[in-house]
Amino acid sequence: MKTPDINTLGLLMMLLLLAVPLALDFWLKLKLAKDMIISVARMLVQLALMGIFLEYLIKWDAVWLNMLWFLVMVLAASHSAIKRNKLSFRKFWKPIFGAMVIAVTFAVLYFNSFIIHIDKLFSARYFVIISGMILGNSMKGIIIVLDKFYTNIIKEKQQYFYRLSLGASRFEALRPWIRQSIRASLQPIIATTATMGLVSIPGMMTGQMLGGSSPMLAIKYQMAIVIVIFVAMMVSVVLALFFSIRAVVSVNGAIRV
Amino acid sequence: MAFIQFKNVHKQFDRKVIFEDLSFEIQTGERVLFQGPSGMGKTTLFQLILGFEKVDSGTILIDNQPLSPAIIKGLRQKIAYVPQIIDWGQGVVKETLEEFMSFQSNVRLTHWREKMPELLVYFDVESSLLDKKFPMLSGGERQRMAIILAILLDRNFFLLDEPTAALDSPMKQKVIHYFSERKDATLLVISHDNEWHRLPAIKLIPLAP
Repeated sequence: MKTPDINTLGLLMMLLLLAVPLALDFWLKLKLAKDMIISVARMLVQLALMGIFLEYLIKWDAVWLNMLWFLVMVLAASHSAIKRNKLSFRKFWKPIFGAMVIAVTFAVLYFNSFIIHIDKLFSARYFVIISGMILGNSMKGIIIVLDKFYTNIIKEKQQYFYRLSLGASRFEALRPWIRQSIRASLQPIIATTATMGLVSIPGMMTGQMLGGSSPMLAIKYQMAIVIVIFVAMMVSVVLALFFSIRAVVSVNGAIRV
Repeated sequence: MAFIQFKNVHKQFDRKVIFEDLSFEIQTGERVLFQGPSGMGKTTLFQLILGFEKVDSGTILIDNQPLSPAIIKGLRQKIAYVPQIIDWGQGVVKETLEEFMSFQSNVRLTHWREKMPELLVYFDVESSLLDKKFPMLSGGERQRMAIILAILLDRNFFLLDEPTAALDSPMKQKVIHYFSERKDATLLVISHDNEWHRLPAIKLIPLAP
């Protein structure tokens, strides 16, 4: 079974569908049209570029190029996570980048070598694509953990100072905020994991089945990817938080974000 | 020996000058009451001593050494601090207390559990309060728990920031009586309560803008 192509007419029909939200926007005076058009346009351009890159990455399949691509993706994800929280890129990029490189590399290599048993661990079709999926989720987790942690610790500075005055080391003093923020960052994925297959058919599975895989195979892949994503997310959240604390909280507890 | 010396300390937040050319000296074993109108940054004074804030200019000497990152940790382990706003977080009082005592620098305090009942009685705290969540405590209860904790830390230097503000008069007397009996301790007190003036041998340091 082969996936039917989407031809030019199909693409035009796809864009025509946007008339529905635009009409609703006009009718209800939501003033969302501009934002909607910009984000759809961005999505189209980004995915088109990604399509071109992936074509070549898969065609050439050079290990160094795949690795380089991976590092560029991690850097972009770090940038986005830091900027979203309005933190200083200069202070935060190393901890966040480092955390994601470690966590995602571990997860994707584990997936490639122990779950799907492929020989070429860094082949583009698996390494680049799987790490991309994992990375997006790790980034979401890091955005939440940094936001909760640094917002709350600054808001509750007096409680933090009090704990330091009681003789706590910086990590002892920070414990409540470390716990709070890690919990907050993982709760969404724990909740979605529990409802998976009930309320939605996951994207990757849909893609594989449209591509001709049997539902059972697609589901096995989906299970594996959910677990790998969760593990990578937790590891990168924990590492990102600890590395960033080391970078911006002095041994005496002064916080310089 | 001078425990704390402030030499020409200047501190301001944005444009608001808190201290201008502040100098004083406190000897080990002294009892000091800081006086000044509220909103004068007396709390900032303690935060400077504990290294939570930095001076803009001037020097703070602790045991004749400039207050530097290297000595801050040791200093914090010597000083028992009762802040004006007492926040133990969201947890149950007893568990939070256990956590404070489990900090690496406090594990040497092996007898705090035996000492606590006596202090609870003295400061009129019912032991059932230990099973409550901290946010459920009243201002006076928080203040008394913070004082009990400061005592349990077994340190000889006390920084008390409005320690009796939320207490009724008999309880204020009890707190002051307790500290007047602590002849071994160095006391630094910020308070608007006149009762502190009656503490024997108390020295007044005015903080004028």
